[in-house]
Amino acid sequence: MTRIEITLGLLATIAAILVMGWIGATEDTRMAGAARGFTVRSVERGAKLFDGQCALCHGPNAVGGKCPPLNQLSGLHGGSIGPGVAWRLEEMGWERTMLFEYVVNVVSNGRNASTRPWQYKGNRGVGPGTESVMAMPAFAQTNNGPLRPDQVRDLANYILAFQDYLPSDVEEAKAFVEAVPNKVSINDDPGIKKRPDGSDPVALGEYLFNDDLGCKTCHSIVADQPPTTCPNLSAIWTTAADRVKDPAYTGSADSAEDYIAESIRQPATFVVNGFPNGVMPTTFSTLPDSDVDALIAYLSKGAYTPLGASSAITESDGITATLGTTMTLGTTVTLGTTATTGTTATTRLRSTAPLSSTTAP
Amino acid sequence: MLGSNTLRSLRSNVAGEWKRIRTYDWLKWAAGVGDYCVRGIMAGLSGKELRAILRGDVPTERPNPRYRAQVKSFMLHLRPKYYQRGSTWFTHTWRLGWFAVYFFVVETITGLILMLFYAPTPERAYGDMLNILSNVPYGKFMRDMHRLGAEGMVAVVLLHMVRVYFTASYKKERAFTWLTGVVLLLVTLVLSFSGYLLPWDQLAYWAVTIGTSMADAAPLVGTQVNLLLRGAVDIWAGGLLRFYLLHIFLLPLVAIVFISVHYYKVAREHSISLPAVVEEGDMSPEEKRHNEERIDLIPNLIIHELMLTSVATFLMVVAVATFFSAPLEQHADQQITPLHTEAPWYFLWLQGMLKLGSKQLFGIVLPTLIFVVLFVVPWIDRNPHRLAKRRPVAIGIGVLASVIMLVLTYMGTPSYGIETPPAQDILSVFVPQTHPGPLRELPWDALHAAQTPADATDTHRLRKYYVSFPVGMDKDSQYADRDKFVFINGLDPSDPAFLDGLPPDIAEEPNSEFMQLLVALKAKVEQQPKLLQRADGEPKSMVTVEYIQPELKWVTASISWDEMELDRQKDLTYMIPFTDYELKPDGTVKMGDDGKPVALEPAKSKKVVFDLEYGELVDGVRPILKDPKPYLKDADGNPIYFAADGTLEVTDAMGEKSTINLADAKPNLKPSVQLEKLAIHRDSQYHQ
Repeated sequence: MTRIEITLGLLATIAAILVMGWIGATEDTRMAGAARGFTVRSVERGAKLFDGQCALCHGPNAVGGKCPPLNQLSGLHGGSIGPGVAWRLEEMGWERTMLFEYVVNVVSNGRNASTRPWQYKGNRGVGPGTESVMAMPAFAQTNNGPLRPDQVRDLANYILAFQDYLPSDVEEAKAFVEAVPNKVSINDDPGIKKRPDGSDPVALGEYLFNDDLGCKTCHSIVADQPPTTCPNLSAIWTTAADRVKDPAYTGSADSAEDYIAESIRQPATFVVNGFPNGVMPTTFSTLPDSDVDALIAYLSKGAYTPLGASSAITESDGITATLGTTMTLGTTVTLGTTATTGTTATTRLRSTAPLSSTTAP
Repeated sequence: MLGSNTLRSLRSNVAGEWKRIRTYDWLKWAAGVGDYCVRGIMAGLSGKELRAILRGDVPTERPNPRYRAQVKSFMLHLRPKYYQRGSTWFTHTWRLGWFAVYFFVVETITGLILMLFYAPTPERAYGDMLNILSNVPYGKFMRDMHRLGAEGMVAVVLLHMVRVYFTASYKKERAFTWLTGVVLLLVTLVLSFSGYLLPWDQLAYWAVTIGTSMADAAPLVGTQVNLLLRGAVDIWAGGLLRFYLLHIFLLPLVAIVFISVHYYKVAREHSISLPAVVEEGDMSPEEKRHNEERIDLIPNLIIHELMLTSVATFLMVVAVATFFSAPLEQHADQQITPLHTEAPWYFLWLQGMLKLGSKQLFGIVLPTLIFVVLFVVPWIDRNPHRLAKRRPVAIGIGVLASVIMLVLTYMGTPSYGIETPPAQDILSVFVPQTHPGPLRELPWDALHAAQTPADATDTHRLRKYYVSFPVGMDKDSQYADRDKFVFINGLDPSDPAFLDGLPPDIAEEPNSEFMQLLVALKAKVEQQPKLLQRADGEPKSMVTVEYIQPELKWVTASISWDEMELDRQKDLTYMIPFTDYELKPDGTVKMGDDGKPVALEPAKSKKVVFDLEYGELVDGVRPILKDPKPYLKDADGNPIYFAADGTLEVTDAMGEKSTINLADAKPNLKPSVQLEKLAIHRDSQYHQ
């Protein structure tokens, strides 16, 4: 009996080891299959989630609706296929290979405002009380949305899988994308303001102040409007001229235009009493001179005419080049302004970027 | 001090020494060293002795070194030196206690390995399961072994108790051992159940939600116990962590303590009981003596146990490699309640009891009572006899209890006593929630969508299969495009009507599995008595297949029907046409441009309620006990009954009185639809 049991036990042990060896030998294949299965089931779940959560706005099967299409016609896809295919990612400043992360990001955090409001409003501005709602709500549970992290990934996997519709040939894929009827980019905004060419410095200044640099979000230029966080700039031209003579003034400007330029580029040099220091960003220190001049012209309500305005300064590089050759003040002279203005130009606080570029022409 | 003599005799000394080395019995020396080492490791057993053990020979030394080993070795000292032959009959014990320990060890080993790849948080748990299954070599093997071992342990412990009961091995000095055994049964059940939650899938989440909700019904402390278990009102991060710690720490600790106590009693005090026939049966004295002989642990029993270990392991490995697979459903979701929540099989009896009545009585009081009775069985049963024929009452009760448990277990399954809406019931056959089901298991290519797109941008290629449809609909020219609209007329290729409804790609293989499924669905929809009873007119059914992506298809199956509305699930409601007018916010009637009051569009109906009283269900139909008394509800919901001639005077918003007639009442039909929508990917592997 003992011998039978020993034999049986040994055989069973050997057999068990063999079976486990067989499992081990096929384990790589099994794991790869399981991984593929989990991925595609994630796509399936994503499709169902899309149907329940997204299709109302993005259309059934992501064909688009009051919100943009997300299917193969959307410009989201292309990934590794070739340039021009994933134009939407490029437009939003994302690497084309990061579609998954992009989708996860947008689904999780939503969109405050639509990037193409003239075509896809989303939920904002579509009726009373919707002026300040998010164009697309945030869906991640961490943002009080309904979706768990894995569900957001399911959705991203589903959106990504539309890529399979695109031809794998680069040229064919590009042709497909170019034929997309719904391709509307941020830059196609019919209401978008174009940058003036600079022949009218006041117009350029107005554009910069109101539309480009966002000065108006803090500074009011409407007379009699009480200042909030930042000073009211409606009478800055006269205020500045008085300010430079004020004994309390600590800066180095000696004219109104220099004072304004100093305030733009080095706001910390002098802060008007009653306003907190450090509120104004220092990022404007790199503005080209032409832009600063245009802003001064705008704020002075045309009282200040920048140097060479008549010859249409549009490119900052032109000015920089002129100033770079500091010794050739002749340029200033040839531009037909007085020598005093030329001196002013050299002593005025200049942005560091153009100056540094002068040393290596 | 070396002298010249030493030098002189050096030569002969070296020669002598050399001779001694040459002639020395090195083999014997090596054998001695080997023996020393073997004895050092094997608790004093020599190599020779080990060989004798394996050959089944008598001990090679005196006193018996095998007994000495049981004193010297810690592991062996836990074991008894011998059992009586009768106790070792396979048919007496079925080795169930041994198997319980075996599974406990398997669970410990596989569980420790699984713990390496698992974090008990809702954010990670399910993902970790997928990782174990798809990224850890032998991960699935370990998980399946752990699950199989858990099922095995519960089964074996239960059977062990049944065996001990029927062989009356709990009597006299074994009473306390029985008590610890019942504790171990409880611990095993809870241990298994606590592990149930850890995968954090739907199955786990809802089974445990329901399991813990029973604690709620306990008097006085119910809510507190429930909170203590779940960690919050609902099971989430706190609950998962608690169950995890119960599963890996507290319960194993309790189990180890009680296994030790339980086994100590067996090994040191009363040993395994002799079969009743040996103890008090009419056996010949020789036979009796033979069965009372000692069987030493070493070698006989230990070899037997080693054999059992390797055979059991082999069987488990084969089961896991071939058919056994631990289930894993979708991620736990508080928002989605499954159609049926089924308890694990060893708790189905409890679920069955809960269907009988109140949660307090059947969920708390009776189960507690059952375990209390189990605990005190040795003290209730004062009958000193052990032979089955001398304890008919105990055997009778045991058989009865087993049968009741089996019946309750059956009653716990969803097939008993749970009435699902018929349409949902039909669809759940084709698209079940808990497993892939027949539709999913079809090859992807068998799900035919339309062959030609409607236009250049149509990538969906939607095709509708009308499974049950109104008569003549298939002849309507609107649905003439057989690529987009397919009509299922039966499954008889010789029938021209059948082939007429099919597009070429299906007609090629009219007997395909997909077609068979559609025909099966048709049969179910058109013949399900409960659905027909509910529906007014024929129920309709449709299956659509469309592409969402090149490798992804939508398959929807729907059943739609018009249902007679039951008010408060009891009274039949009819609608009666009634003109009413639009009101302004101040409550006055709105006047149109023509100076006439604006009538409500669509025309308003009044809900007529027939107050019905139903009798008990007879052959699936509830008889109406008394004549219905139709009434309208006034603004406060109070009934205004119709006159005997079936008329009722009502006042509209204009204050004008009009008479409505019951004869104009039409049944209030509520369009109902049951829909299952599936996204099926080409590589989802459900069909493999």
